[in-house]
Amino acid sequence: MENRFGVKDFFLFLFLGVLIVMVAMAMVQYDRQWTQLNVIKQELSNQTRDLTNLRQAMAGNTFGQPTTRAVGDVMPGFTNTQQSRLAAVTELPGYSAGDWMVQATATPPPRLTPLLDSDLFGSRIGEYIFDSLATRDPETLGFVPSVTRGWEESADGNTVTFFLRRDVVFSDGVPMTADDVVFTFELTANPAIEAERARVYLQYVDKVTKVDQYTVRFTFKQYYFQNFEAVASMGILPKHFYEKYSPKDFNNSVGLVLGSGPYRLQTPTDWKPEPGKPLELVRNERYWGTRPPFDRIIWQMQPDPGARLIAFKNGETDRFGAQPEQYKDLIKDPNFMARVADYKFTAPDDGYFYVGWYQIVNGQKTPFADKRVRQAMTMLIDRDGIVRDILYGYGQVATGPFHPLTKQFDDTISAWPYDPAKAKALLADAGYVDRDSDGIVDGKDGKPLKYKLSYPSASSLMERICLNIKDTMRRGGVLCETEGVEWSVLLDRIRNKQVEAQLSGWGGSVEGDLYQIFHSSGIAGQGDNRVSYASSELDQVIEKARTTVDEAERNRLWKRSHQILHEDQPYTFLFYDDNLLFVDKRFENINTTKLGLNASREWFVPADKQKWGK
Amino acid sequence: MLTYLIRRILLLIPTLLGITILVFGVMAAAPGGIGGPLLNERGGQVGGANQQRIREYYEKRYGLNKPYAIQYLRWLNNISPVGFRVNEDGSLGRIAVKWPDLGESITQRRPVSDLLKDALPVTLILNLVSIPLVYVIGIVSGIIAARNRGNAADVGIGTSQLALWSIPTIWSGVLLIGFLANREYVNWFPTGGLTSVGSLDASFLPSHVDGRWQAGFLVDRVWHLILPVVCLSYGGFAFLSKLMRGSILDNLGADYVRTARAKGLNENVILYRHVFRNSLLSLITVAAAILPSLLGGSIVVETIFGLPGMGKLSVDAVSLRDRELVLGLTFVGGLIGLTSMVLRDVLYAMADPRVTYD
Amino acid sequence: MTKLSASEPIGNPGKPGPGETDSTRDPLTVVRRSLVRQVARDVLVRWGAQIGIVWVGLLVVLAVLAPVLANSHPLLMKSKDGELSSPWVKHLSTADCTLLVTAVAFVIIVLTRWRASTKVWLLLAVIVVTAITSSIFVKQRFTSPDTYRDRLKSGEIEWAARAPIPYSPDDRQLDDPTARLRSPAGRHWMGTTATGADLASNMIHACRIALSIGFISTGIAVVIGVVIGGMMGYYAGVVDLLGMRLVEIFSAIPTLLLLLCFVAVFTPNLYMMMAIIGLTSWEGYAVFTRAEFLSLRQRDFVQSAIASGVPLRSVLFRHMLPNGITPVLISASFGVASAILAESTLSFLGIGLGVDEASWGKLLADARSSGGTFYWWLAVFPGVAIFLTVFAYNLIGEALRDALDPKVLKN
Repeated sequence: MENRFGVKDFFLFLFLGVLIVMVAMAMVQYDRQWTQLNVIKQELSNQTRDLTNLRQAMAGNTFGQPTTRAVGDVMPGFTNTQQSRLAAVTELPGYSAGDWMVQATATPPPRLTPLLDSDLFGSRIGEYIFDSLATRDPETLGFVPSVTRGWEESADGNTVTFFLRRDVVFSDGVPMTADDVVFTFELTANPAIEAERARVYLQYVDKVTKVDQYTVRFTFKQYYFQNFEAVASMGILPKHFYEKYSPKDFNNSVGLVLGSGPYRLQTPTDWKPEPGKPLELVRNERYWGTRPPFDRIIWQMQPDPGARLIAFKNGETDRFGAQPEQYKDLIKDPNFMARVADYKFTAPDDGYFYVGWYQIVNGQKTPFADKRVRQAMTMLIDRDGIVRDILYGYGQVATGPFHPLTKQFDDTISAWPYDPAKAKALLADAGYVDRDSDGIVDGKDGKPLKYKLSYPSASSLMERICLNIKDTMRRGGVLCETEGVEWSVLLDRIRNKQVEAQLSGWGGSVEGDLYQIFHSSGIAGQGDNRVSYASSELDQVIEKARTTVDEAERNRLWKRSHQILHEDQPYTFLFYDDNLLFVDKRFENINTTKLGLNASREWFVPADKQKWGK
Repeated sequence: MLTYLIRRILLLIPTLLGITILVFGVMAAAPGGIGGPLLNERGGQVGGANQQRIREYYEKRYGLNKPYAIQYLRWLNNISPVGFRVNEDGSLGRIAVKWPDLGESITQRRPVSDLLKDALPVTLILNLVSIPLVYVIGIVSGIIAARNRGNAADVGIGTSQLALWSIPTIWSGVLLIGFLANREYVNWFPTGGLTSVGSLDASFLPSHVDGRWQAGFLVDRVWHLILPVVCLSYGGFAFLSKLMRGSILDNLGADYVRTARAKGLNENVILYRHVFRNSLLSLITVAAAILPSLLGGSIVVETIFGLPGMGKLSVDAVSLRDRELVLGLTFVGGLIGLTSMVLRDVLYAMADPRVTYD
Repeated sequence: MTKLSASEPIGNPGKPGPGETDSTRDPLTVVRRSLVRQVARDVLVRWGAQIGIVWVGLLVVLAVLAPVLANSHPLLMKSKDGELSSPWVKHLSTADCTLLVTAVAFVIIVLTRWRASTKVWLLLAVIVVTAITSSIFVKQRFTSPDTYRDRLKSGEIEWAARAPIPYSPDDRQLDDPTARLRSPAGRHWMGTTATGADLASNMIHACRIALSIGFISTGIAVVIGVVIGGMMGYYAGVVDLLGMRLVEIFSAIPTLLLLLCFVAVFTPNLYMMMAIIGLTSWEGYAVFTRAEFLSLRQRDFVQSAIASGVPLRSVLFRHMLPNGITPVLISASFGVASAILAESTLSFLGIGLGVDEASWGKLLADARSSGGTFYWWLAVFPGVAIFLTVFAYNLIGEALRDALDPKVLKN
């Protein structure tokens, strides 16, 4: 080989390299436009078909249905408040359909196929794309029909019969029937489908039968008070679309999404996660109910939290869920607040944060088995300080497992104060005094009172709370070590009861059940009584409450359980944090309901303020 | 040469096996099993008995309920191009030649190969831009240093490049974003990511649309890549420049240069026509060895700038303990590293006739 | 880590060790002594090495004196009843005591005129003895650091002599909620962190982590590398073949990725971190040692040592090692730099040390964490510290290489 490589050749190669990279990038971009062209083509053929249907309908003179039909078409005794609220929105002054709602999220969800999706994103999108049999009314908190006209429950609660509406169509135009409901259940229950998480909620369903074309009956194996919610909130999947796929294909799919909700994906089969590519929902023009206002709902992908804030500040996105430390700075910024409105709200299903005191670790009783020690621990945690300094005041101290907005909450209970002196007295009472004057109280055996506080390592909020607890504990003479543990590892240790104290949170619900977390039967089995807390009185109260039908009496019992937990302090209930949201000011009709903020499909942008998609 | 090559390639096999055993052993020793995200429902915890049911289901699904040795052998069988076919129900079929299967990411529940396919181009483009940059600057400064051997310019270049090499990427990245992509200081660059809003739908080159200039896809991409590329490349000059300098000095002392000088050739001609070419040889052989270290470098840069490449994928996989994904990533990383090591030796032998491998 | 390691053995087969003669005489005693002196002289005249050594020396002083320099507990105080006390002494941990005693012993021993080996053994003995005694007898007190501020205000303490930085690294100033994320001013020379702790205090205490990680993990790596490389070089053949596979395994996977795996699996504390970094960075030393030993074992003085029945251990470590250690020493200096870099990178990525251990990388990570705001002091000070330390070790390594590498001398 003749060796003729010189400076010129070097730059030639460099130039060639750059050229190749650019050509590759251009090809990728060209490809992207090609797929978009395909989408448009498909859209066009859809619309042609719609137009044909419309022509036929006009020829047959069935044209022109009353717009309020969606609201009125229910059985006596039911009101479809979801639709009536939407219909009311269209009557508001300045109402206009149009505009997009743009928001930002960190990364695209790994998959969107229903039942297989695993993150929060799936449920957010599902709300727009799928309809369920019934929904919770945001004011009464009771269930109201959605794609159903109503339902009948047997006296023992073991069968529920749903009567479907006849005018519901999926976004490809095929009507929804009882077959689709049965299919949805069967698909979920099929063990070949990797939907174990959806399956556990339907575990009490014995069978689902099609009574007639628009009637479907659920039979339960046993009565459980959350059975109705489980089946009523199931998103209905179209049989004709999903049955084409074998379980294996379904399991491997990423974006098979087709439903009857107000929005849809542009193509029901082609979506796949692509870094940086936004996720777009378009309005389902075949939606059976009241047309939602926004043309599109878009999630931009921006992994960097700082960049997400900047994008919102620049007006590139329309809503932004803020952290407390961001919120307190942003609401003081006049330029910023001139353009956006801030919303601070709580909901009865907000979760609470707690520190769990494990009474048994590795088969040994810990100091926390003593009620006085647990009470002292609570009084050594400055919860007001945590809410004030770490949440910047956007939260409230919790006294028990029920949210103050629920009917189970006993408002006569006042939270344990932060009181190191009283805590020390209680500890001394329990036999813990500083015997070797090293600043740490010691038990009767001379061992210092110290424990390891574990928390999920991904959360910087929990890290700060832990450090605060550690410092206030030291003031009271208790040595607390903190340890951030990866979530799956923490779950493993909790399962094996190897944790001494743990900072974490529980999600809430409109009417919560304490059985799982605080009943003593959850200590030995696979229940969630992780801290091994046993109180025979609480056990009785919980058992009684679960079987009490009368709501007032049941809530009296729940309040009693609240009192017992407050006295016993198996957990130190820390706080409920507020939801903090900024929304661009052009959006109107945003208001708070008893379930938090109203659904975004009730919002709208007046015609003169519309920004996107013109 | 050929026997050497065959020997080297055969020796790759035990090394690759060793890599998989090492990584598998480490990951198997990790507590946590299938990882946390699968046990969360809609961002919250799933309650006790249900959690147990879900855990058991997925442990069975991913074969985590089997002994480690079996898990490992199964994984090995899946990635091997020759092996047992696996039937639908998990039983083993006939031995056949098949496409290697890297398994499915436990946390994202997508095939590892799909995730790699998404992430690889990002890392590649980062490196394809920075490698030539590193080489050009390294070579030029190496030549300058060699020409001014011993005086201030040489020492200055050497020291400043050593200093550059010592600047941690985590620091430069944070500073660059903090000062150059920040509204409080100057906002010249985006804080992170690979694309800005809407640029995926834009035309490739800058264009004039609706009376306004639109930057287009290419400009937008370049704009996003500037800071990451700077972070990835500034440290590399030092090494190459030093190598170039040493190599030129070696060559300048060689007999052929003395002959050329004796012939009365111009010093510049000697340097650029003769010495430069011969000195480049050592740098070319190094090129292959750079590959694995660039993947390492991408880890930090991609994490700081939020670029969805191999490095970010690795950090996410490791911190979520996604065993299959980590295994796949290290396997591919190890494969690339090993190949480049063999390539380096081969190139070295080809470039330098004095070296023989027999 | 993120860059090409300048010490990587690329296409650079073993260089002949310096200071050897081809005689049959064991060069050990004569050459080694004079070699060490000469190298020390050669290294120390270089200004790069001087700067590096000065900076590392400064870090050592800061690390040792950390409890005196930055402490919430007053050095001396007088209570209302006229009682004098030194709270900081009672709040020293075992590690603090060991470090302080060792440092004092070191100064005394260096000033004596004993033989070098005696000095080393004595110092080691002092370290071991103080570590053991202080772990038994030192009983650390725990007091909330803000009590002193309260008691000074209430007049319970009449006066107190505070440390120059009157904040411990874990003093998160519970008594002052506004203390978080303050830019440098007043008592906080370098500002405060996201948790309200003083940055300067954290920086000083983090010197310990940087130094110990650098030295100990490199030490571990050198020992593993030299042992494995020595075996490979001495036995050659099958041992060499197997050893090379092991080396290939560790050098093929990007070090940072390997580190990530290890650290994610074993919940890291400081000691674990040292072990992990050491375990993942030995392969370079093994390659160097192997190359040296491969050439050394053909030398006459080794052959004659073997022939005269010197035990294997002695042949390997007394005869061969001192003559083949030079390249290992050079790259160990760069290794210290990359170990420090590795620790701060892992801490930066959030998979390093626990929340309570002050590390430069962890402090740096907070500069940009919460929602887009940039806290420049959290980026500048820890970053400068990491950079200067890494630079110092690289300068020392460079000077060592220049002093020891005959190839450079030739130019």
